[in-house]
Amino acid sequence: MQGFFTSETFARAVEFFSFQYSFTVYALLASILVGAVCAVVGAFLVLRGMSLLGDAVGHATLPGVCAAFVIVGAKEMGALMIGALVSAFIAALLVGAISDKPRTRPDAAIGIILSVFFGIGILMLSYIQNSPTAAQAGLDSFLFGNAAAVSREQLYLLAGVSVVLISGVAIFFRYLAVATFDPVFARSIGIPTRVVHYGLLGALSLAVVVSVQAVGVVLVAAMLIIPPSSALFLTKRLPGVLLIGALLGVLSGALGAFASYLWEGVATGPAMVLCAGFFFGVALLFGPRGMFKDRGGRRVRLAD
Amino acid sequence: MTYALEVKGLSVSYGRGPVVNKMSFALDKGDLVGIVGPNGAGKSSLIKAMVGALTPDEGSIRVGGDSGKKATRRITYVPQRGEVDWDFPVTVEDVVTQGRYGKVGLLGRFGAEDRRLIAEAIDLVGIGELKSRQIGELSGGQQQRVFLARALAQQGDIYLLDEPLVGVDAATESAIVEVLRNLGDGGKTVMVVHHDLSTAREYFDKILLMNKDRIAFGPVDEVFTPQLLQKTYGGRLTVLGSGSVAVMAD
Amino acid sequence: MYDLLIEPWSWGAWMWRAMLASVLAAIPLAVLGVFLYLRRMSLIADALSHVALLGIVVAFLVTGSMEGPVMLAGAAAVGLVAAISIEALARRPNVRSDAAIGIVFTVLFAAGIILISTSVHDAHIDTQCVLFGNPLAISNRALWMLGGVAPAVVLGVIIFYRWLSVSSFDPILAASIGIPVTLVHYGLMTAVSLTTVASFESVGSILAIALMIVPAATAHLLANRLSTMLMVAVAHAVLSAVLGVYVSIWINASTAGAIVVVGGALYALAFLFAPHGVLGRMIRRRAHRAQTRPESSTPPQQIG
Repeated sequence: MQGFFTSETFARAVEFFSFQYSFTVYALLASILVGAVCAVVGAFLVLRGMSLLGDAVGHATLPGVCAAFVIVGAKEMGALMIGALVSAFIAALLVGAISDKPRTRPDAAIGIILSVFFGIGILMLSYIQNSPTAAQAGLDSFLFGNAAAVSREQLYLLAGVSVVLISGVAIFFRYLAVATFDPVFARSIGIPTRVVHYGLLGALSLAVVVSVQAVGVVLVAAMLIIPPSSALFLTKRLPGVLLIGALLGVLSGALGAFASYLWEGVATGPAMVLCAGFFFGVALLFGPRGMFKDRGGRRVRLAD
Repeated sequence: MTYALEVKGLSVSYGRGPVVNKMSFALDKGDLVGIVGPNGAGKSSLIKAMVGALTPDEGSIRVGGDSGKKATRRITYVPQRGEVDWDFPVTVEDVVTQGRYGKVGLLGRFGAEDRRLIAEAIDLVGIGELKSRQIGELSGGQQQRVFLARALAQQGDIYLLDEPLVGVDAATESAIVEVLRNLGDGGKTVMVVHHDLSTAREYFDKILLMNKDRIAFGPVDEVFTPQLLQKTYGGRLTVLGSGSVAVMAD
Repeated sequence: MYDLLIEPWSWGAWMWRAMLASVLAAIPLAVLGVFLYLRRMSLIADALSHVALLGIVVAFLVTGSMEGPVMLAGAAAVGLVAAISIEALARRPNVRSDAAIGIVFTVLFAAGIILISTSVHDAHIDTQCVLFGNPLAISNRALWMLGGVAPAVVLGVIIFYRWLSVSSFDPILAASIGIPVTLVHYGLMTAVSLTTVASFESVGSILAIALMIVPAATAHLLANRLSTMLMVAVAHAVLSAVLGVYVSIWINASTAGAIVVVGGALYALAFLFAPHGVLGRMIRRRAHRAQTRPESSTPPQQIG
């Protein structure tokens, strides 16, 4: 292992904060936005027990991107994103369609869609590139993220989508909260739980598609799951989970982008995830609802 | 004649066949009704269909003359404790506040009246000091009271409760039964899926015996007979001499 | 027809090596997959196959060797750590089991990626190869590993069949009649880690999950007993492997992708047309409805 904290590292750190290269600024902003929007959407996924759906949806973007590439011909970013969005959403719908039939399991449904869609994507990709080895340039950053490669247009798109999704959550907060907490009660007071469900799937697909560039396909699930899960140890009310989750997501994103700049060979995706994991560990151990406040692993219950 | 709650020919199925088969009954204002039957008899599904959470195959539900969505809005629902996620980040007060969402809507502000009703509901069930606690910190009995408070805050006319007395302590049980009696005396209609045959006679005015089909419905003394119970539970009951019943149902 | 099927065998030794590698990977993965599916642990298997990458890297860093047994040991060790962490985390009141899986595996996977790209600079561990496999150019080392692991796993399942079947169906009963349920559980996890590593070069880690879940899910739709389910799963996996290799040669695309896509297509067929599938239930529902409404205008359907 090369030395981690050399004088060169320090020099690069200073360089980073001088913000003289636009790509570093874009990388930082992209990572921050990804952290925020994934945490906010991911909170509802985690609370509904749909955490790994984010993993499936992330993997399912690949065939859409390839299909768009084939149809449109050139590397048109907009078309590729629409393709990714369509296949991501279809995957999310299919998981639900498979899950509630007899002789199926919901966890297996996620695994099936995840791997089959991704397999279709790999097949298409290798076919497009006309070789049996699917190892090609560009796939690396798609898989593991490369926030530094984010262009200005992509950044605008990411910002726009983040604003839309986060305000959407704020506006529909009551519906989302009740439908997630107690769906039967929600139906009884007239909340359209089906619409809420599909809306959440749509939000998930959008969040994943715009985040894949920075975090990569394999780890986007982490940014959906980890920051909100950390927040659950730090607060006992849902608005707090969203805010603190977003904050942790932003911090993880920023630190991840920074770390990626400091050390060569460190992709932004894994770096963000490790930061998020670190915060999770701290929250798990020291948070007000974490381990040291609640020894033995069972919640402290009041007596009758 | 307009009943407070009228169900006609309601059938609900879950893919493998009907769990509720052509259920019909009519309740008056002030009725306190227990739904009794063995496991898998469709009692929970009946309630969920009445509340609008399950789509029935056929049949109708009328609340005081209204039908359809308007009817189900007037029904308040208290879930089985086991179906709720106790780790969910909500406090007692948050849950009871949800009871007013039907009125204030998605973005509406909470008025003084709303706040009063919420505070009143919390006091009525006796969990005032717990209102800022996250619900997972509560005991079983306290958790049950939270959901009852939510239903009270809704100010509906019809109350449907799904096994509210399972696993609660004696104090909570009598507190809840008293709240329900007061509701009945106040002209509300209350229907409770009840799990404990030995107390059914004492708590309710009328009983609905069901096992997918309607076995019997009427005043508790008429319905709670060994023959009808035997029919409902299909021989899982032992009838002792002198007409009293030993319960060996699950 | 002859050309398509027979000719490739004459193109070189790589053809039968590729077939052998794919089939040798498919069989133990499918067998293990059935038990995982029944125990609702499909996604833990996904986690283990990703985490195996970290295991290989750690083993390499510690021992400096890339020998087969070392890789297997590393993967098994890290796999156990992951499985134990997932379970410990899932026991916390604020953490659901699916979130626990997501958190542990993404963090460990991220660590593996970063370790590879910063510390391991030889081409021995080619990320792409590990993730997607390359059966058409499979190494001797991989074939040896598969040759050892595959029969060992099958033999193990045969020997411990009773333990596996009872503990998968009813773990409480199993414990009460003296079956060491925890041992079986972690034994299964270890077998999954070992098989995944051995299969890396055939199908890669990302798609190993497909050969575990999809055959099992297909078999569930077609079989009523565990023994039949195992046979159908193996048949599905082998068929996918063989057809997949052929397809990848015919269209000059990724073998792993082709195998998974074939497997997915077979699942879709079963999902739609099996007696317990969509069509079968539609037919049965119509027959049932016709029976319960004797005065309907349409005559009841005769199902032969």
